Amino acid sequence: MSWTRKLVPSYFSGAVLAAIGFIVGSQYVWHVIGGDNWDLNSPGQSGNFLEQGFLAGFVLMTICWFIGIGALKYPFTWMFGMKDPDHAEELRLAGKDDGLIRYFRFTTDHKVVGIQYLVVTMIMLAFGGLGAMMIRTELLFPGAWAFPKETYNTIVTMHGMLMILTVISFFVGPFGNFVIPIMIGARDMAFPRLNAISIAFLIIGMAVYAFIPFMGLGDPLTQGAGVQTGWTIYGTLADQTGIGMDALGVAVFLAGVSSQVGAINLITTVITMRAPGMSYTRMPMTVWGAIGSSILSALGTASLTVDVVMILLDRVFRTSFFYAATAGDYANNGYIGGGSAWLTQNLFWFFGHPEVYLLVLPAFGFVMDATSVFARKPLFGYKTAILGLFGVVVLSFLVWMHHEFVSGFLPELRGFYMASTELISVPTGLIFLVLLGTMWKGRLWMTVTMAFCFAFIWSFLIGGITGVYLSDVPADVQLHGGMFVTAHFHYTIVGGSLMGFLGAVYYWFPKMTGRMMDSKIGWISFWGIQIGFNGTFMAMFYVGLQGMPRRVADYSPLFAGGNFVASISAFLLGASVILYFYNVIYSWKAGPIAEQNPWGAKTLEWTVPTPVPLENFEKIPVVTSGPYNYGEPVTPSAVPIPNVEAGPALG
Amino acid sequence: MEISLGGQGHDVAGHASHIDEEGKVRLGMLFYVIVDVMFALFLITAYVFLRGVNVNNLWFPDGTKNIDVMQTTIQTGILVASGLCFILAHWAVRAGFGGLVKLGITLAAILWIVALVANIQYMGHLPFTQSGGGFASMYVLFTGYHIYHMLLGLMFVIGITVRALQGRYTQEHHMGITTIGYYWYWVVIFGIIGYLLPILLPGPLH
Amino acid sequence: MRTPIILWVVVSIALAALYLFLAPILAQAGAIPPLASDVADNAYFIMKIFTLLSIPVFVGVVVFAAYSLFAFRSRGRPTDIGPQVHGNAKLLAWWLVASFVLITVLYVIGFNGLAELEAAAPSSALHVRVTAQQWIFDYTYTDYNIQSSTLYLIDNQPVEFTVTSLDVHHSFWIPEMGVKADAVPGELNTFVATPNKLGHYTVRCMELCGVMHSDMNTNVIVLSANDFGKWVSQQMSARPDGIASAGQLPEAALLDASGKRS
Ligand code: HEA
Ligand code: HEA
Ligand code: CUA
Ligand SMILES: [Cu+2]
Repeated sequence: MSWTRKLVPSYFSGAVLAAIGFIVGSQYVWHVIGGDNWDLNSPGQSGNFLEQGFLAGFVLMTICWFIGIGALKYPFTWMFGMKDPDHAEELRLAGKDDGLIRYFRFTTDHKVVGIQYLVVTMIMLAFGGLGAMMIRTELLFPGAWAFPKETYNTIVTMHGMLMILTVISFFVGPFGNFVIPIMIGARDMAFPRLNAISIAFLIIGMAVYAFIPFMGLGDPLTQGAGVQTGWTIYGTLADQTGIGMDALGVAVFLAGVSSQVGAINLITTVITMRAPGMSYTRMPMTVWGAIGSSILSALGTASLTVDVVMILLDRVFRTSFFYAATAGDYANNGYIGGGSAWLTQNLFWFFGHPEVYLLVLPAFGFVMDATSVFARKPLFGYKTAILGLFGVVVLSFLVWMHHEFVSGFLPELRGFYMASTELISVPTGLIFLVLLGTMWKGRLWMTVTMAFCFAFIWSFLIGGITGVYLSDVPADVQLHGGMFVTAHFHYTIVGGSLMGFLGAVYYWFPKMTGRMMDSKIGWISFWGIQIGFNGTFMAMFYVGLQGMPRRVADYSPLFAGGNFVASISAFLLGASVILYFYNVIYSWKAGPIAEQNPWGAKTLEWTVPTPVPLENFEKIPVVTSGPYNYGEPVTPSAVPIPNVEAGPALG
Repeated sequence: MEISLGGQGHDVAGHASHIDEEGKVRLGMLFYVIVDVMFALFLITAYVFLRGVNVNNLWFPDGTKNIDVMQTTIQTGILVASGLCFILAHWAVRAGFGGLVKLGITLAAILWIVALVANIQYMGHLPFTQSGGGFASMYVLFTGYHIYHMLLGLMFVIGITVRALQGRYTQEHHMGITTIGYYWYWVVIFGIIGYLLPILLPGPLH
Repeated sequence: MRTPIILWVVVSIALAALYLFLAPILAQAGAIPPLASDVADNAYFIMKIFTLLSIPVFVGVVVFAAYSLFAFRSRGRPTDIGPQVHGNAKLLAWWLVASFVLITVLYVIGFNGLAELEAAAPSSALHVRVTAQQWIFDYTYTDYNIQSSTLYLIDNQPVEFTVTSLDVHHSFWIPEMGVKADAVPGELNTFVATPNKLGHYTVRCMELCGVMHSDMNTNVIVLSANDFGKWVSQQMSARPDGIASAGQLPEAALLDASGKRS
């Protein structure tokens, strides 16, 4: 019985059931309801069985996945008023004494979920990076020499969307789940089951995402396989592009739910689960960054969800949210029209802009924390930093139309959006003030993490300042839709979030895995990443100024020089990221055993033993001072214990 | 602990906890509702937007039949009645009237299910198809979203009824009712919004 | 504190001077498209000022970070701690004031430029209606009732473009003229520009619109008023009803005008 009990339920049984669910759902629609009628153009609700079949397949696949991993057991026992799970059951769910298999299960231990998130997001990052390498290969020379144009468009779309989904979850997923509960002195997240559900949503979302390049292969009626809309999935084009769009829509929906669920969980955890004495002004900045990001996710993501739902309905059930018919002859296509193309732009960017800060806020928080630790100085203005973070959160809902300066929608408002966009550099600037002030006269310990913090300052500064160029309407009218924009956001995202993430992995690796990462490989990959990254995207700024458009497989020879440099540097970047990945895998297996507090930090996660026991704390700590008070001298031998009294667990 | 979205009264290792478990669950549900409200807000925005731009005058193409207000009034009425019964039960449980709690919740649940069936039936008999212009598309989406809400809510509805009938809710411990109330009221409110929009902001602007 | 401040000032001035020296050379060498309209002049003038203003910001942050890196670095794991300061209200106030002043200046500059961009078309303006569809632009001269697939413009005469689309989003861009407008199905998007240099340019589609997006280019030719007049009369006489032929639309464009796979 033992192995069946271990494997069922687990992700393996979930995968098997999900596969069955997909086959049953899709085949049922295609063959039974649709009667093998592949006429794509029959109007009205009965047509388009191909896409309806895929949609049914994905929906059933998701449901079966949740059944297969055992996530629905609790809701159903609750629903029918059966016995609440007892203690032994809860322990089993948390993965006690379960060995390796608990990492492949629906589990309520926040640390296991954190590790699951880390692995899943790093795999996503690798695939997104693979897409980036394919893009750069195509752009190595003018002319569509490596891929057909429709394939290139699909690659760009998949790279953009996958990377965004990755970056949305690669901070609040791994570290938000693993580290933050310990940081605030909690024994788990507020809703351990929701926690497990949010990673399960992400995994099934990514499984659906993997369908994209294969859907519509060899179908003469679609415009090539995949989805050729760019990550912005403007409804007008999404309504008519390849049927990969259906998979993309479902995947984005699922990933969106995952991030909303995670956000709800994180905010509730921080509000209700703090240890005694852990007042709001004693929380490390990482927590604040993750909170800001979660707020944006909770409030903004729904806009994207509405957008993809409308696209899916437009495609599969022929509604007309985005379909603006211009002449009567469309009527015989089954559409009447009445939709608006501006609606899709506004829905997308109302999500899109808060989302970009969602990507970077956790990195802000982490970089401030790490700077303080490695400078052995308290934050230069704790309240200033919070003001900066929350200024960004509030303002980020007021600027989305700067992506639509040339769309023709309410051009009278461009002045306002220019002002709000420029205003957002003030709170962002406060973060820089805090960082510089914290370093000043510190005892800078140059670890790889600290080096990534410096890289963050450098690259985000460039990304931010070029953002201010784009916020200026006359300049944006010229630069919009070109490689300058692409370079701007890679400088902010790769240079901000990704650098922060790489630093954070290095920083928390000892706590999460019990081993140190190799510092020599770390330094080599650091320099490779810096040189490759700056080379790639500086060259991209250059071709952007020259006037190279985005999302073109084939460009004029005028831009050949800059693109060649960019591609070669990108390959260096790719190789260095692979080296970093190698470092992670190698050190996980064979790195030196880490001490409890290798960096001498004062936050709570370093006060618990490594590996962190189930339930984290023997006794809930009572916190009596802030997270950055390096009051006593720090010596390498005597690991500093922060000012924490082990108090009695309160009733 | 009546409803627990995964939280435990104690933690796994059996420590008693200093954490306000009930407050935690209430807060979680509140945030869930907020996320849902955002979704609804974007739907409403889209409705107003499409009506406002009215591209090619196809928001409400000539000849489109409008919805049957009588029918929607009855449906919304049933839903509101369900909400009122729920309020009654909530009041009763706080006041300690055990029998009234059972009655209120059961009535609320039955009305909920009736409203759900009526909605689904009505969805099949709309006077237009989903392809019939901006208004038609929007209306179908609103109704569909509402039905999805009620289907999801079915889980809560059944669970809470079973528990009420088992007599698990007491004057002191009835967090299940409070928390699920948030969801219940929100669905009723959304039902009212979806009912009023086509009446207050009907056909084309010009 | 003295050293980094001096460094900041010196490096900023040096970089600004270098920029002013290099900018025209680089522009000559093709770093930016050759400018051919008032709108483009406006945009690049603003970018130039922005660059000059952001140099001190950029240099300031970099110099202070780099200085910290070299001056306060500890060899290996630090054994003591830094000064336990928790912030500096005066510095914060100055930082805020400086940022606000800076963005105000940027905003005023930008707003001026925006006003220029939005200036209404003079009555003498040429009216061109741009119709985009997958994957071609098509131009109608409403003043003359001429249709053309190449865009002919007049030197030093304002043009009012009205852009629309028949199927999906496109974006109409002439790099040398700094004008860009999304082509949105069912909507009209209007803007004005005055070409100020004779020559051949290109129109580019700047919004992903499907398979052939990267090939959606057409030619722009800026003519003198005289030559343009000749071209117009030639076109008018080409067809008795005064409406010139639409030119050859590629097969694919017709295929997809329905907005759904056809
Ligand atoms: C992490 C993501 C991230 C971040 C943080 C930002 C930050 C900013 N972005 Fe960016 N942006 C994107 C990701 C991001 N962006 C993406 C993905 C797109 C394109 C999407 C697409 O089209 O596909 C985009 C596109 C984009 C556009 C639209 C371009 C176009 O398509 O035409 C604009 C225009 O205003 C813009 C502006 C800004 C501004 C003003 C900031 C500011 O927040 C920057 C603020 C920071 C600083 C200014 C530096 C530090 C400050 C100081 C040192 C203080 C002193 C300085 C001053 C007072 C100026 N961005
Ligand atoms: C959100 C985050 C994000 C991140 C991190 C990146 C990272 C990178 N991006 Fe991406 N990018 C986007 C978001 C992101 N991008 C978006 C939103 C778009 C717009 C899409 C659109 O227009 O619609 C875009 C578009 C885009 C383009 C423009 C395409 C075009 O318009 O034609 C280019 C071109 O060079 C590019 C390059 C890169 C490169 C070189 C990296 C590098 O930093 C990547 C480095 C990482 C790696 C290289 C991973 C290493 C691993 C491997 C190489 C794989 C090993 C394999 C296995 C183990 C299986 N990106
Ligand atoms: Cu038209 Cu791109
Ligand atoms: Cu933005």
